[in-house]
Amino acid sequence: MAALPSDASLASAITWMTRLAGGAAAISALELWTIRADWSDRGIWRPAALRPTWGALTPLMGAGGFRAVLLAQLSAAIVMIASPATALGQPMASVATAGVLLGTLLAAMRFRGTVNGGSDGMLFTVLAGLLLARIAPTDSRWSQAGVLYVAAQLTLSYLRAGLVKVTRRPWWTGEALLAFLRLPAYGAPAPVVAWGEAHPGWVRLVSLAVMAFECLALIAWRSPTWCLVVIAVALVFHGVVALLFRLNRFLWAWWAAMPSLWYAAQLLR
Amino acid sequence: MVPVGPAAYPSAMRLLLRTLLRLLLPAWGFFDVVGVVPVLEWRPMAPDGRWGLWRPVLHAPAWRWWHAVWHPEGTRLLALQTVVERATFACLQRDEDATESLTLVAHLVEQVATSTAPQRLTYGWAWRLVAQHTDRMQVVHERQHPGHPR
Repeated sequence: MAALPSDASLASAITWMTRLAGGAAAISALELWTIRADWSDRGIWRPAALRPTWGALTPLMGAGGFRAVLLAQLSAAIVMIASPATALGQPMASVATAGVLLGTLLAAMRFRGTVNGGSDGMLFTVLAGLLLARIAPTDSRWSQAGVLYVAAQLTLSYLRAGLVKVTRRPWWTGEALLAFLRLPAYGAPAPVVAWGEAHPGWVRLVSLAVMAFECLALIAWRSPTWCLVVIAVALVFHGVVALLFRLNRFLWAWWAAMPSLWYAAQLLR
Repeated sequence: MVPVGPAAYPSAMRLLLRTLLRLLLPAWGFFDVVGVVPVLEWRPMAPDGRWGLWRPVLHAPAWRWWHAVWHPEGTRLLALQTVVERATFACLQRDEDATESLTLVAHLVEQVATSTAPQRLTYGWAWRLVAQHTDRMQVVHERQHPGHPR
């Protein structure tokens, strides 16, 4: 391993992760606020149906209590978005990060993981690593460990998804991708589904490209240049997935993790 | 009544630990392959006592480009689909936890039925969870509700 990067490199990664995670958390809180009728006293996730599992946390999970949780999460997320780079050692953004982490945990408990499990998982990973990085002395091993934990989980997320696909024949033929496009649950645009059905060869090519990207994402750790390539492809990949499969919260959560990958690539340069 | 004190801790602690484990060690095995597709359907009863046709409960909202960054209706749809999936697989596996999932599904159907055809609910409605296999369709749960006489 070569020389460690400067304070600025680690500080920059933490600053951008803080801002992007704040954005992801704000979107998450606002979306839950928008559908608040669904978790009100007469909604689908009404407190009366879920209360037995909440125990002592019940006051925070009822309609009124959870509205307060969301408002607190939104306020903390705004502090994270607005945190200047010079605020790295300041407690304000660290407290906000801890607050958003707690809000994300409570939301996952409130809905029992039914509201976007994967994106909550990545956002929680980013926030946990970020909190460790922020509360540890700047440029210490613990601070690095927090950022590298996020980079490792980010890489693992691609690798695991890629390895699952390469063991499945329908992904090699493109049938699996087409089947996901046809699923009413995702509601992919009809013209895209029709195009896919008319062009199986192209669908197969896209399917192979997805598997190749996910399995090769590990090369981002090889050098900053390869890392930039992986980040660029990842942003396009998540943008397209968000557009086609309504997974916008995945886009935000994975964006928030990207600065950690950039830091890891510089560390191993 | 809100449970407080030590008696309230076991269920809350179990839920906390289960949630923390899921968030700290995510599976990341996204988009494996499409296997069994769970579908939730409902139908109202006509005044003459005959049932209408089964129709899907969940519908994807119209697609817009800004949904790539902001899409609460899409997030809601995916969450509700997860509720339907959990209930379907819980029924298929005869899981004891099916009760909670089925309660959420019942609330969902009631909301959709009330908002789309309130005048037709006087005589009752029914819903069912269907597991669509590649070669067949399997009804895993079906329930009927009495109407709301006016």
